[in-house]
Amino acid sequence: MSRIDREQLGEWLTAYIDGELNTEQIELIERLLREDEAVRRLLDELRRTVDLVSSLPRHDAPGSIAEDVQFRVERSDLLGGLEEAGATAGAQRSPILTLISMAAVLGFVVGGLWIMNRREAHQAGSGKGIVALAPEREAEPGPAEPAGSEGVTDSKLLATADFRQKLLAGMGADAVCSHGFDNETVRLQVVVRNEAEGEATAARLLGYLAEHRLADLADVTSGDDLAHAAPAGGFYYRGSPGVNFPEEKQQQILVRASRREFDGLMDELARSKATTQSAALIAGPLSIRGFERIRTALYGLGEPTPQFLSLSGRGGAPSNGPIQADSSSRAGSARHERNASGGARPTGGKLFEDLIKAIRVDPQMLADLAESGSDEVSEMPAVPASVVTDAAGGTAAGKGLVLKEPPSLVERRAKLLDETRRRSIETVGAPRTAGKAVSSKKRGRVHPTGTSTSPAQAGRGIRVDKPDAILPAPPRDLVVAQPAEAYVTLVVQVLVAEPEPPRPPSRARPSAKSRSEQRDDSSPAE
Amino acid sequence: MTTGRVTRSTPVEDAELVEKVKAGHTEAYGQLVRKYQDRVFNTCWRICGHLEDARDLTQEAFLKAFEGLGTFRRQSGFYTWLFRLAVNLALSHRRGARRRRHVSLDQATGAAGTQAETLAKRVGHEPDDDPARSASEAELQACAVRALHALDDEHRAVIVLRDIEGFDYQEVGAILEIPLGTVKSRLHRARMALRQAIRSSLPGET
Repeated sequence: MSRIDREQLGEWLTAYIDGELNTEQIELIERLLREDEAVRRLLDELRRTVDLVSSLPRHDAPGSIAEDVQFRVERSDLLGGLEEAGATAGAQRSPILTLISMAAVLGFVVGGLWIMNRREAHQAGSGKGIVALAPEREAEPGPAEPAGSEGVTDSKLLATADFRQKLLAGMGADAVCSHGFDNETVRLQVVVRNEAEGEATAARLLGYLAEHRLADLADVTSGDDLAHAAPAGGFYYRGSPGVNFPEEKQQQILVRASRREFDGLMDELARSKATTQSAALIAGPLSIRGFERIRTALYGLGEPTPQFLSLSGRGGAPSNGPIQADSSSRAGSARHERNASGGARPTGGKLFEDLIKAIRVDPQMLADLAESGSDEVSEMPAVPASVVTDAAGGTAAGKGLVLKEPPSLVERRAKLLDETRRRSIETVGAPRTAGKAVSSKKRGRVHPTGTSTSPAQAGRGIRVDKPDAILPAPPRDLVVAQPAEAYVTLVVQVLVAEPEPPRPPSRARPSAKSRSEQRDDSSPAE
Repeated sequence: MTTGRVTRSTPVEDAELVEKVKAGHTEAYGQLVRKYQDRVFNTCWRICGHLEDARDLTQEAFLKAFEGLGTFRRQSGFYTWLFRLAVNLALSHRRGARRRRHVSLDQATGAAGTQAETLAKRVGHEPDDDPARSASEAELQACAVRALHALDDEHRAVIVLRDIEGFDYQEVGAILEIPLGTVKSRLHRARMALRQAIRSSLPGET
């Protein structure tokens, strides 16, 4: 049997398995099967291969996909086509609706700040918390009931329990990543060039967590243990895949610590044993709806000069090739140490601060994107040094991040919209500053003023190009006093970058099509 | 986890839901998402090979589909069009993005000490630890997965769509936008390659 005939036979056997032959072809194949044992053997092997592949386990899609998509769809609709290809829908919306939409976006951002600080506010004895997205709050936070108890649901825990209580209650996977989990969450991926460096990095990471001030909450089973084991809110937690983390995120650690505590951690990660082995930190919010592609910073570790890249693309993965810096580096005046070769190396604390700044989402940017209808920004806008000020006039890490919003907050968002509609819209005048609040112009737009710690000095809103598209001032009860030391949660993963595999040399070329391909190519697929 | 192929779609229902979404009832899109998310997710997973990436790809596929509903033509069913988006995204992701492999924290070693090693072990998670499955079955399936991932993009896509997701040849051709003859030949070559790879890895098996 010629090679071509054998190939044709193989294709027919494949189609025979799938029931894709016509009557005449079936008769021919079945005659061959009766007459030729080799054909029967080949059919049997192909069938076993198909059976094996078709029996491979399946995964249920993570439950958050539908929720995430629906949220973004609704937000897209709310913002008037922010994420749609055409911006015509948004342009046709009435100014008031656009205004309300932008207010909702602002509410997301400020709400995130509120939720980030709610725990600290609670700890500071504020009792009911400083703010409430929903004017009428439910019972004060109390000990969470054990998971599985009657009446305990994720939404209830999100609304009332603090971070530790939620951990003890075995919160669902998505709660870890939502800012209803009472913290801001940033994904930190340490990308290294080779396996050995990856193992060393992971070891340094775990060693630091184990041996320094951060306590391991994995063994904590009661509130008493928790209080004893976790000093000052700094701890790390591994959780259980499929419970506290999505099952596929098994190789990650949830680290919650103050910025100061992260200094040492970042130093550990930043150390590189050889200048030729560069490790990169890729940091980005775990989920910024619609903006994760543009808010990832790549930082070359062990490089002589700290370099930031503004990356687009999912997960911030750079294109193939060595980590490169470009002229849009925003490393600024990072503090550096001198490494053995005399090159500058950033210290951990500054590195982290720069990373957080690099990925910070400016509310004004959201408004800009809403207007432009673009879902990508090639250049990160200059962010004022203190978009939101704290009591000391400084900034807390990560402010301005727009994080995933759990379903329980969707309702609150609706209430915020209602509240916003009832308030009068104020025109932005000369910004009144508090502390280091600044007002700067970029491309004719006024960036948000600093939000004061005092309700009486609440930010006066954001002005955009179009005079009628003015955002109202955020409701007074959304203005919070920032703690002197804000907490951040990192979800840390260690990854090894691999080069693209070489393409197989014997790729099918159009000229090498089989007779069946050539015969059937003339007919369209559908 | 479940095994086996899933039931087929109902184009009429999909068309009705699409029309509802176009009319502004965005909640109808959630129904479409819930209907197809498992299949899209598994397709993306088996093509790109990473669960986490598959999650992102799945979400992006549904969002792109939503964005493109205005240009969606009803000649092909919604699910065909959706899977075309998903497959293209997964293949692009696999081809274009830098491949990053997770470092197993179980393997982390160094001078950190016993405590770190213990912690490293506890962080690790075996993605496939169903005790009900025999070791030989697990080994065979692992071998099949490796063989699947060793296929080039074109052949992997047809195998995933036909043998894992159960699309017929017409649907595979529509999703991949290739003629029927190309579907047949690629599928055959892919199966032969899988067969050879599995035989090489496990003598005495398939």
